[in-house]
Amino acid sequence: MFERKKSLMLFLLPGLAGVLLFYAVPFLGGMAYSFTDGHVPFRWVGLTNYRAVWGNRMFLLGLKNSLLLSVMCAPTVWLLGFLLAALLCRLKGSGNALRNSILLPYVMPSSSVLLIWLMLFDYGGPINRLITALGCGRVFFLSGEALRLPVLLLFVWKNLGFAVIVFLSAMQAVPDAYYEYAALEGAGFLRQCVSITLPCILPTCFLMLILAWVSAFKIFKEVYLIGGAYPDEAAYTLQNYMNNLYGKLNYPHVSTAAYTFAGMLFLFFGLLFLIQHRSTKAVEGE
Amino acid sequence: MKKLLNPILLFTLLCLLLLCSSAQAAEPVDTHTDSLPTSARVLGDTLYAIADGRIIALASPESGAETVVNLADFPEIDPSEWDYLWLTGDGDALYLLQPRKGLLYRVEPNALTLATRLDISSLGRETLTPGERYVMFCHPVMMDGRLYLLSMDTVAWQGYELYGFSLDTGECSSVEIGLMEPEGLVPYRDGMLLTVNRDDESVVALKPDGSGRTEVLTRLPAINNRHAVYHPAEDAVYFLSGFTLMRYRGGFEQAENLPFDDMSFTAWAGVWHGELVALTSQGLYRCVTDQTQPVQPDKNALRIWSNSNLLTSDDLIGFRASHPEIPLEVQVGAQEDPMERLMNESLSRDASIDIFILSSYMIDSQLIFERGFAAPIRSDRLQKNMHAMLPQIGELLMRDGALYGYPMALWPDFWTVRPDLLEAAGWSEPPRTMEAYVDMLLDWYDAHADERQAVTFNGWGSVRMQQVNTAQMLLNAYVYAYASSDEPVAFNTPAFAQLLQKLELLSEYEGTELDLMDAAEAGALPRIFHTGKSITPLSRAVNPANWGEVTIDAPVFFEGDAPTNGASMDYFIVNPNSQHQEEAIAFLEYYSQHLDPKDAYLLAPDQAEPVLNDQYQEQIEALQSRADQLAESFLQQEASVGVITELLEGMQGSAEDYAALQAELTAAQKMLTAYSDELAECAASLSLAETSRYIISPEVIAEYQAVAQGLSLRNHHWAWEIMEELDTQALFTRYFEGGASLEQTLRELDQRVAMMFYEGQ
Repeated sequence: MFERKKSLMLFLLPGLAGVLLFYAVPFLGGMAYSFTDGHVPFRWVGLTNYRAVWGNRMFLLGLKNSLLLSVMCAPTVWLLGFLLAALLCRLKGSGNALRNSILLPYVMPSSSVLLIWLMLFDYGGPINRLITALGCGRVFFLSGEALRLPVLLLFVWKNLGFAVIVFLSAMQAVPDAYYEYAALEGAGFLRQCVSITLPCILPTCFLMLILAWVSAFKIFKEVYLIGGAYPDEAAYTLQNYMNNLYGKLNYPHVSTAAYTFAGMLFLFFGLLFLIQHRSTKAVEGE
Repeated sequence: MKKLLNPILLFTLLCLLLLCSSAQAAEPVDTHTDSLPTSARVLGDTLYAIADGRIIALASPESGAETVVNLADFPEIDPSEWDYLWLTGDGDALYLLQPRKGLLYRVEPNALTLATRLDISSLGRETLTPGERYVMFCHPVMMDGRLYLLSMDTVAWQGYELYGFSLDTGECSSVEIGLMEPEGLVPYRDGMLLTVNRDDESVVALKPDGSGRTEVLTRLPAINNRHAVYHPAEDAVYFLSGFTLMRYRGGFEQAENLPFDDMSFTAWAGVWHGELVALTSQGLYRCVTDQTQPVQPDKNALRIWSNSNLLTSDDLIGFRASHPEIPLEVQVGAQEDPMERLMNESLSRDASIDIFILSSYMIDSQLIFERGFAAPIRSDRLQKNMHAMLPQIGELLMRDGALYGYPMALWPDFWTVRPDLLEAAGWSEPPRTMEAYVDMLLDWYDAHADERQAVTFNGWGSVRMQQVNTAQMLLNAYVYAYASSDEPVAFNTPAFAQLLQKLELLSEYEGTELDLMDAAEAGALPRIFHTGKSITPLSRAVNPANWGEVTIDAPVFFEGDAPTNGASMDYFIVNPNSQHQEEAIAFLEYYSQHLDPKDAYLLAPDQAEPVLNDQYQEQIEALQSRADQLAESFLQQEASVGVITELLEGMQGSAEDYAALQAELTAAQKMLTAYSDELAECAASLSLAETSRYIISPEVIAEYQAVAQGLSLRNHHWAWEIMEELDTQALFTRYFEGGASLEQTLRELDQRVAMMFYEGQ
């Protein structure tokens, strides 16, 4: 048995070396770089870059907006994905066409639908015409805080299909007998979702939440496509900050912002994993 | 013995390689001409070229040049046209094209016989001289009994047209090919013609069947490709620039780089005695084309990188001659972003590029120096030079007293005005403030909106274009005057808002005649103002299209503001990782000493001296001698006319004799008129030549000195960054189209400018 493990390590070595060389080393190297002045030859400056970045109002604005957008986007995708998957699961085979069409935006480049998106949300566009037809005032969707709405919708439109597929694959493993029994007991759709589906696919639910949150934290493409490098203050994300600083050759601050962000993500997802671990244990205990 | 075998084999291989490489460096063939030939053509085994006012023939690389035709013997070709003549050929027949008159001559020893007159009247192009619609032929080529030529569409400026003329019937055709900058035209396989469109460096095949069908065969990886040569025996196409020689064989899948680093201007290239030859300013070179391996870079070479062909061949050749110990290579990354290249090289501590050429509008140069991406240039000479230059240049390229960059060329954005047109429009002087300028613009539309004019206000087309471009100019003037490193510039001020509101008033002229004028149409008309178009006093003085214009300061934003004009600058920086720091400084010192006077006077106007044109006296003498000859011929002809008239008056012979004499008189009178016309032309050429006494005249220097102090380089970068990064064009367009209120537009603009500013804090 011991011999076999050694040989396994031998097979794993090339892959591990690749991960170390192309992921771990640059990651650590980048981290070390964030503690230097960035000038050639590099000089150690301790936490100077971190203090400068943490005190920069645009970094704080970007961080705030990234968190806010992620709080808006990730749960929306998660919840809609879960409910749609549960509905499709009920439809069995007849829902295949719908499932495929929901996945379509995931494989389509966002830029390809940008024009339609801009047209829809234009000051004189169909959505504003609908709003005025309903007797309300027109909204500048492409500037101000209202910009968050098209960004949110574009994100949901893009990522919903993936969430549905992941949920659907997990839900298909839940025995039909559970639902039949619950239906006999008088449980409705929502009750079945909360009391049967959710506990049965809890690990997948956590995984999906993490994936959706990671995507939402990194939200940039949608903002950039609609608002450019400098969108409205309400939609300026941390990715905007890093991208713009890169163009200004300020690599120490770019890497500092990136590692600050990475550290926060590690903490947040560590917490989520902890909650998931405890919840799974609790469900298994029941 | 075996141990020795490998080193011996290696040594032998090295020797062979050395021998091969020395074979590449062929000496140029002597063309026996004083000046660079302007046009050339190979017929059979003979190379014909036009140089020094002669058509010469070279039978072989070893033989001397033989004069076929001395152009001075043919008065119908004015000496001022010699540089614009083209040679072309069909079979064994050599032809000479005089494009300005549309005449094609058959060339024979000591004779030029008119072969055909290119009649373009059937195509609706009535004239070959500048006027309402004219053509200017270039790149003639003969194929299957037809003469093909390229000409720019000088009315719509929408690209070149391909003309075809039958030499037998005179029938002609033209077709738009849609290329903006075709260079060269050569017969290719399957009856196609080949050209290089320098606009995007694409190789284009043209079908000369009147369909205008074009096919892009490939896009060349290098820039400045001037010559395509098709070698039928090899079925290969060669492309030459001053830096590269590329070959494509049997198609356009794979390019081969061949050794060619002459770096001088290539006037012509073709196949002669089965070899590729290039006629460069250094001579006629036979190119080595039997090597298929890519050229290996010299590891010890000093490398200069730029994303466009900014250095001239004279710079490079001169440096090589004066510093033979420093091998020099120039890399042109046409498709690369200079900042990205600089970042990658610096972060990876790469030393493959020693000198970068950057432009000041791209990024704040102080950021580059602050981040350590440029090495300090330790040269007393260059430091001293810098102190003689405009102080704005020092502010851009020096940091804490140390020099980090050296200027290459300055590009000021001056305004010009046509005083005569200004006065005709009812204004006595150009505007001093932006408000006055906008008022004048509104007055212009108010007075002229309903009818097409022969003059435009500033060469822009529709009302929307006028509004958006003027708003961008307002923004520029505002940034030049008020941008600072202490706080973000704020546009939401009553003055800025008021001017935008005034511009908005132009919307009421939408749909008028002025609004319907497109950009090309408006751009082709004379304009009262020329705004921010890199027109320097020198370029204005030497370009007939700008004659009559006067350089002025761009209007300031508020009355009392100091005048400011935007300017960008190309400059060198040295890679801090470079292993050739001393060599790099040697190059910069060489460059500073040999700076083209046309660039030097812009950098250091206070040190500028007028530069005389060496060829001025020669040109004047040649023209004067021609004028004297013509005057003499005119007098003789006049006398002949007098004699014939007298004979005619006293004639008592037969009616036939009378008619013959009458015909003679008419011919003599015609000749007299021709001499008179040519004399007038010659007088005009003489007065034109007077303007070329100086390369840089005292007037040009004085004109520049008067406006140079107001040049703004650093704020020009800020203005460019704001316009580029914030897409102000879209912002202003939205406002003028009614998609956003003024308050919202200015609030957004301010907010974004503040974001840009605070990011860097």
